[in-house]
Amino acid sequence: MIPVSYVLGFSALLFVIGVFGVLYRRNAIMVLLSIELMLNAANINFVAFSNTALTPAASANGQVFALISIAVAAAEIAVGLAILLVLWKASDTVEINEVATLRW
Amino acid sequence: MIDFYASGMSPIFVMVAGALIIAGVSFWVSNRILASISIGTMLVTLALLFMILGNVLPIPQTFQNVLTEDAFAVVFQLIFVTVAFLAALYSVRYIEQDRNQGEYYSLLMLSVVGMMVVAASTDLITMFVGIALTGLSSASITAFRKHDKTGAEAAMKFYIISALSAGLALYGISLIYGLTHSLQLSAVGQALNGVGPSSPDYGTAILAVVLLIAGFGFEIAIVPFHMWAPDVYEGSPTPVSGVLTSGSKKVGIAAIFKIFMIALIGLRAEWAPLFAILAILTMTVGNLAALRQDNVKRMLAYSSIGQAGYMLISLPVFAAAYSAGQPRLEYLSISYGIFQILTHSIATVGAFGIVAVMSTTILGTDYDSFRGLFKSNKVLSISMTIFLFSLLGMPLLAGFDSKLLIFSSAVGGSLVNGYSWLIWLAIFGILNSAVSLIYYVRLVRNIYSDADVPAPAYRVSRFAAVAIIVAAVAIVVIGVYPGPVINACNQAAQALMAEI
Repeated sequence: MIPVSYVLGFSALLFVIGVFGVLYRRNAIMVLLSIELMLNAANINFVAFSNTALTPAASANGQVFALISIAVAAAEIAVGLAILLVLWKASDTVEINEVATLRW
Repeated sequence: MIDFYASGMSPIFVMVAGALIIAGVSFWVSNRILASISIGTMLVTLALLFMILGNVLPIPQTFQNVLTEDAFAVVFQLIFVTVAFLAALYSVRYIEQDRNQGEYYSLLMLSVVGMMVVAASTDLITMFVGIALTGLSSASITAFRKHDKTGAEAAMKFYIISALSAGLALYGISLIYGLTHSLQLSAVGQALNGVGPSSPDYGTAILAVVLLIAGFGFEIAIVPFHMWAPDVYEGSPTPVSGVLTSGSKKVGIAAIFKIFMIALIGLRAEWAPLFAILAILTMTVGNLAALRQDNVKRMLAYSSIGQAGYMLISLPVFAAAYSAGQPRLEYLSISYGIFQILTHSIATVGAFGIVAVMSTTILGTDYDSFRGLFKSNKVLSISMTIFLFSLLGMPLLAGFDSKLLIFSSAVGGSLVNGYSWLIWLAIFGILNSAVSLIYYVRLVRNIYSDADVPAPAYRVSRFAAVAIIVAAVAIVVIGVYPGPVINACNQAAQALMAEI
């Protein structure tokens, strides 16, 4: 079996890539994808940690959370794409820099 | 078979049923009926919640270790449903000209359902699902006016922020699960109780704390995670801004109370100073930025950022009291935090209501359009004065009581050995209240100025007038006679402490 620490390193890398994507990407679709990476990094963590749990109930906790968060992520993407579609219709772009009518 | 009436879940069931019914029938029935279904459902929910609070229905009740309907949950749910109820009342006129009103009411109620679930959750999964539900439905409702550019932009910003905060918080939760192999808040609290700087788990635990603060910090808009808030509150339909400031912000605070006071209480020496610094930063930056706003919605957004700083005072004071083993100060610190949340919610939703009445455009009103309001409409101007002075903390209004109590709890906490720095929270709080005087009074002065006013371009609908008067009367009554409300907050705080 692969040691848990390897899996954790992988998920930490995914998470960091996701955070940097959110911070530096200017296209809203790419930002959405980066957020997906962050959520999936957490899911990998849940599954990896559920392997080290001592009781079956404790191990089920993590797997259930992973499944539920996959469902939530799917819902999130559906709403996100719908909002981007509205934004595209209203202002003809999904580049975050170019939609800036609200400024102090 | 669940005995529906006796079930503490009934408020949530009723809200979900109402939201689904509205979504289902929205193609056939008139807008007026949709509004009355929504308002009626929330009235029933409020009645059920008052019955639970008054012990007519049994309290507390637990559901499979997932939800607990205790006093803490009920008080927060009352705040959320009241806010949404008032917002729905003045939405009727605000969205009169819009299509798809069924979706508006249905999403409004679903976002409240998410908030109610978070307030009752005792489990990290439930809490996460509740926060996601709130975030998704409020983001969709922000984009309600599809052809409005600012609305779509605000929705995009709010969506990205709520998804980002969910991502950060979820990673933090996954680390906590890794340390404790448990998702039950109280079980996590026991498992993490012994973690200190010398134990091998310490680094991971601190990382989890930081990620959770960042995740929920985006949700509550505490500085430095606040940049999105003014844009979103300005760009959403005004009643929705009211629900966002007084609802979805507070839901983050309820979640922070639950996670940090129950699950991460073992790490209080680490998070207490962190929250104290964030509280001071939040109140100072929020109030200073509010000084230079011309748009009333934007000003209210910044002022509510500042007010969130006052609410955060609860956390370090609670940590001090817990370390010193003073149960009285422990529950008082939580209780006064909840009281501050309550008074701020009512005053803000009322103020947004007045903006919604005066302008049905997305951008709302600026300071100048309040000029001479007293001559043209006495009810609106007196209520707006009450709301602003309550936010400022004028004696005899609810905001004064709550600010006084929360600052005095900081002073009480500073007497604890090693926590004398808590006094700075009270000092900065009072200084910031003085700063906030400037921008609130500027608006009030405009209301009572003698300038020649053009005839008002708005009509006040009966529903909106009811909502605004109810909020204003509530502020005055709570301000003069806060006893029963503080009692309810004390019960809520003790219910939260019972879970530790």
